[in-house]
Amino acid sequence: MAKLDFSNLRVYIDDSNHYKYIELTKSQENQSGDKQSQAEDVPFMKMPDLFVAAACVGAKYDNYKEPTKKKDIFLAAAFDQKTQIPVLISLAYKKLGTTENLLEPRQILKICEGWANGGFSNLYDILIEGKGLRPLYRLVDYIINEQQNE
Amino acid sequence: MKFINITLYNFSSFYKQHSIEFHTKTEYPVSIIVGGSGFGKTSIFDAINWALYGKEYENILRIQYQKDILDYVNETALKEALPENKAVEMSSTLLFEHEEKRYRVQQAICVRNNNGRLYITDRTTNLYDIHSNGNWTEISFIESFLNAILPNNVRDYFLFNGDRINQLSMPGASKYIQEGIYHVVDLEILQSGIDHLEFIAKKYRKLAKNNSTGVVADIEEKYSNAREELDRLESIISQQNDELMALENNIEIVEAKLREMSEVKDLQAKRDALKREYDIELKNFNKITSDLRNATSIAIMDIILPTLLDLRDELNNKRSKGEIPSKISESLLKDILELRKCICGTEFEEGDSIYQELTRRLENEVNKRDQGNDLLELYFELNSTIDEIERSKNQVINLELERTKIDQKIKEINRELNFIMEKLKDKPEEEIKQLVNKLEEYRQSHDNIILDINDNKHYKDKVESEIRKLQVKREEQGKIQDNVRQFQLRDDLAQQSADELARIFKQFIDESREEIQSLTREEFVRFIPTVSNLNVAISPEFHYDVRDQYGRPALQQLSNGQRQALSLAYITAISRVSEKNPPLVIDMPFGRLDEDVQENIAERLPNLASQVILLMLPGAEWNDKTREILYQKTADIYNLDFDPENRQSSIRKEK
Repeated sequence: MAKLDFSNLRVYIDDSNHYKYIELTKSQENQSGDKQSQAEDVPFMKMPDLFVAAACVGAKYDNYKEPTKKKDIFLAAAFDQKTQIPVLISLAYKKLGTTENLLEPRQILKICEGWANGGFSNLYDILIEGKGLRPLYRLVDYIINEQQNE
Repeated sequence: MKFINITLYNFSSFYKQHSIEFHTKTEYPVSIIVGGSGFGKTSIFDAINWALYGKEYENILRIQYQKDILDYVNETALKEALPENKAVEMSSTLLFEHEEKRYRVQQAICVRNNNGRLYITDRTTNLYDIHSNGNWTEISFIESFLNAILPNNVRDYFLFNGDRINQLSMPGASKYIQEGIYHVVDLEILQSGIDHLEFIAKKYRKLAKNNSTGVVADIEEKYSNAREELDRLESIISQQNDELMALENNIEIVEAKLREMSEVKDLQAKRDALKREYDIELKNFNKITSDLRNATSIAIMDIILPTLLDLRDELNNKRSKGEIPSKISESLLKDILELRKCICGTEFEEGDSIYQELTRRLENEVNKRDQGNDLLELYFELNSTIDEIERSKNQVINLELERTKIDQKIKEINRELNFIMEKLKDKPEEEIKQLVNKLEEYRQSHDNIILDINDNKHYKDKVESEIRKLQVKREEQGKIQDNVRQFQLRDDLAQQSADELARIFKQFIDESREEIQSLTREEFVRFIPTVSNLNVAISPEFHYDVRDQYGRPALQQLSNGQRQALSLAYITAISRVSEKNPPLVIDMPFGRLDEDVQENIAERLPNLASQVILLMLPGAEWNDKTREILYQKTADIYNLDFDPENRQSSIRKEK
């Protein structure tokens, strides 16, 4: 979809979740003897990864909630073209129910911001209170369980 | 910088005046001073240092070698002065060149004996700029002048003795290695910049706090406290990291001792093997965890797979119906416009209302075609996205299985390691028991300190998060009081600049470390070609990290000579990176080296600096082989003689 231009668009989340976004993506200094801690406790490499995951969880539980106090966190150009953009379009499709004017970047983002905002609290619960000792393993456990329940 | 001569007066075993000329030049960069133990080699080395650094060097002598400068006053001179209680003068004078100019620096003290106790009655330090016409001018700010040429903190890397080489090759050298990298590459300037900006930020923060009232004052108070707390935590974490490093060094020392004890050699070897295995498994574990994180960020999309499939099916439907991309209407409209005749038979002309309407419709169709093409492209991309999600999901399942297995293996290795520790503790030998207990004690402290560091880091994260929240409030509330907002903005600017400079500082350190690491590796292999299969690195924590071809730790397997060669390689690397190009003065350069290593190092030494002054032991260091190698590059050779009867040294020129 070479013509979909996300280059100048910014992605917004609810300001109240901003610190949690930082917490879950923050790159920490390694320290001797505990070098895996970063990946184990910080389950997302980048904010776009966390945003897409939150949007997926929101859509999964049909939890759509547009941000009230918006805070921009990254440029939409940071999304991965091969996986994340098609998924975001699919999430917009879920909300619109039609392919008519589906490929409008601003609209796609706006809808996904609603899914991500709705799903963020669910995702946060999974990561912080799920099964397993560390957030990354809780996420892994969730993915594997969901796959088994399919 | 180049030394021309050094003159000693009543210094140590050198009674009255003795001079050594250094005639080194590009083709002959080496000067050699040969003398047996106690003949005065180290005294000459100390005299050079004292001439350059005066009281600062006296402090080093006191702290590192428990020696006082008064211990250097010549015994014979003191005896002669005693009957009439005359003062004895002792001095060291160094003549040197720097950037085409000549300088003379002198340290001198006058000493008297008071009931068997020596004390200094007078002290002078002079530095003169010697002009080519024989005139001279005195330089007042000696310390800052010399520091600009060769700062005291890099002195150890150009004027160094056998002890220093030995220290660098011992476990626990990380602190020295770190110091070397920090000091020699002149990073103090950056550090001063950071300190200065932080000072300014604090000043404006204080002004903002003192000038604010009401809610703004409350926020400023909280913000200021949070910033102070952050500084405190950073300092604690840094101290704890130093402690951690020291403990790791201590552990390494005890482990090395155990390795040398015949009673526990086998057990210790088994422990070493298990620890290597542990390191490999831990590395695998970390890699898997990192891969797992990458895979989960895609695999999580699997939870909305039905939505992806719905869209894909919908698009496939449209594709099979020919709706995407739609070209039928577009072709029809183009044909009509070309024929100027409608399907109903109405004829029209270019520019009239029918023509315009048809053109508009054609444009719409072209737009729709673009959308159709994009949707068609989306259809194909969705197929590969779904495949990618499926693949990542399977990868997560496999990686998780593998991670669990490695986790078990690590636990198993830990159990075995604990079992060996128990066996070591059961050994009847008291010394072994003590060492094992010490080791356990260090390891316990090591584990505790890691926990403390983690706790502090988590707390630091919270404080940082609090600071970010307060910054937002600060900005909002600051609008109420404009004067406060001005201070806030200046504080922010200074703090951001300090943070950015700190980031550059770290980057600079990392780059310098890597450069020194690469040069150390290069020199080490030049000194000892047989170690070319070893990979030498300096870790981010400034430890030597020597690995064999299988990636296993190999530092402990190096012989004493190899370790010394490694230290010398490091010092050489430092002198190459520093670009200061001072003379390299080495007291006992070949101290513990094997003969073949001596030869390799002797070959390299003349190339390491534009002037190399070597103080060597006859036989062990200055022998047929090293003489053969160094002679052609040597400008001067001096022999030290020592008269044991009156305990006096003298200097004899050989070449």
